[in-house]
Amino acid sequence: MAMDLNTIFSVNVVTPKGVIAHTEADSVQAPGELGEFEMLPGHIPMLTALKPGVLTIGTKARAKYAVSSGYLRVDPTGSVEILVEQALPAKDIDVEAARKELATAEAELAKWGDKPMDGDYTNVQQRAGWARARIDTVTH
Amino acid sequence: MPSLKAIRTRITSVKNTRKITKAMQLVSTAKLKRAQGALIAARPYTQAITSVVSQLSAVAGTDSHPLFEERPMLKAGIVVMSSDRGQAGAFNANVTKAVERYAANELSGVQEVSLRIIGRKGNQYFSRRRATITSFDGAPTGATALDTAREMANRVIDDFKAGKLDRVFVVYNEFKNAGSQAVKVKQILPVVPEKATTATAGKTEDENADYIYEPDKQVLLDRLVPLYVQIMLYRAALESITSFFAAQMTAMQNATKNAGDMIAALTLQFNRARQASITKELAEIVGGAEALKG
Repeated sequence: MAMDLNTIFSVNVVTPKGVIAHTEADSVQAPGELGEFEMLPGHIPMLTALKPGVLTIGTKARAKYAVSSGYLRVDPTGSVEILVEQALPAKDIDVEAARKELATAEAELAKWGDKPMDGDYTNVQQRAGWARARIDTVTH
Repeated sequence: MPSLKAIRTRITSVKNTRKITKAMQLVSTAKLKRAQGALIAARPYTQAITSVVSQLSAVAGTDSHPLFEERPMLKAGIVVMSSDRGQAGAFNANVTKAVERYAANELSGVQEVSLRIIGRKGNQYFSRRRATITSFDGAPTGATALDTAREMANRVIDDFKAGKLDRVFVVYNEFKNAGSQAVKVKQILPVVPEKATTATAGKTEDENADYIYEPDKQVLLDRLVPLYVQIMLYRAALESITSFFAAQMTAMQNATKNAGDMIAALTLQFNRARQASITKELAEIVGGAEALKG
């Protein structure tokens, strides 16, 4: 059985704090803007927006990360670049802290009332989204 | 002339000061190294987001996103990056001066200039001068810089979209090397995407055109342009943190050297005083002996 060259591809996860994963994988599951999707080798060039959620790299050896918003790009050579503003490996997640953050943020959003939905509102929303992504990564 | 005891006390006290400045110098050297590491770590992300935003703006056009929109500048906002603490030479003075100079010269025709300040020192300076301060946050550390940058980005983006600001700048100390920092003024809004030719060098137009964009270019720009604004602020914050430690290191190095000079001068003074008192005592003894001989 000849090994098809296209059964694996290289995956690069880049955050402002550095490259947090640089590996070869046979699949990637990512939280796309329109919903969760799975990407397999040999995909045509694509640029897609990611929202906060769970990123899973590989099917056999699975590595899970909580990610915030960013993009996934498949370049013409087939390698995948995932750029997210925050990413945390599942093992490094403090679920209790995330739950507390989520509760605080949701309480703040609930009593926002008539205040203008300005940049500060976006900030609280994003805090809630990132907390939810971390909880989902551990519990799913 | 101060007494011997007074000089000795003085020497001990300056020696203690020197121990403290020396320790602070070592601490800031270590922190400087870490901050430089964070700056280097941010590079791949910065390059990637810059090239994607310029790729998108090239295929969608520069009028494709509200954050690219050039408007007549009536209201300008400045994000000021200062520090919470001093003991870093002219670090904060350089920033506050640059902000005032920029507002007085380049922004002289603008109706309204408001400030969003990061760092207590900048806030103290501009509150005293009754500048228009929209918000104030404490200075970030390496660990909180990304959060500070995100929240600041969301706020100025909202100001810009709502028409509260027509242009936003950031003023910060840029790290050149451990011995020199230079204040920089950078426009962050509206976003001016880099020309695709330089940012995506090596890639042909055809390759860019072949991409599938999901959900579409518009949504992608909506998500990614704010990240671009954030990373610009994040880099400015990191540059500022790095410069702060470099400035503090230099200031503490000078303080340690000055303390050393002072100790040398005081020791000389102490020895002279001691010699003088010995000479005086000898003279008294000799005088006394002469008197007894009578």
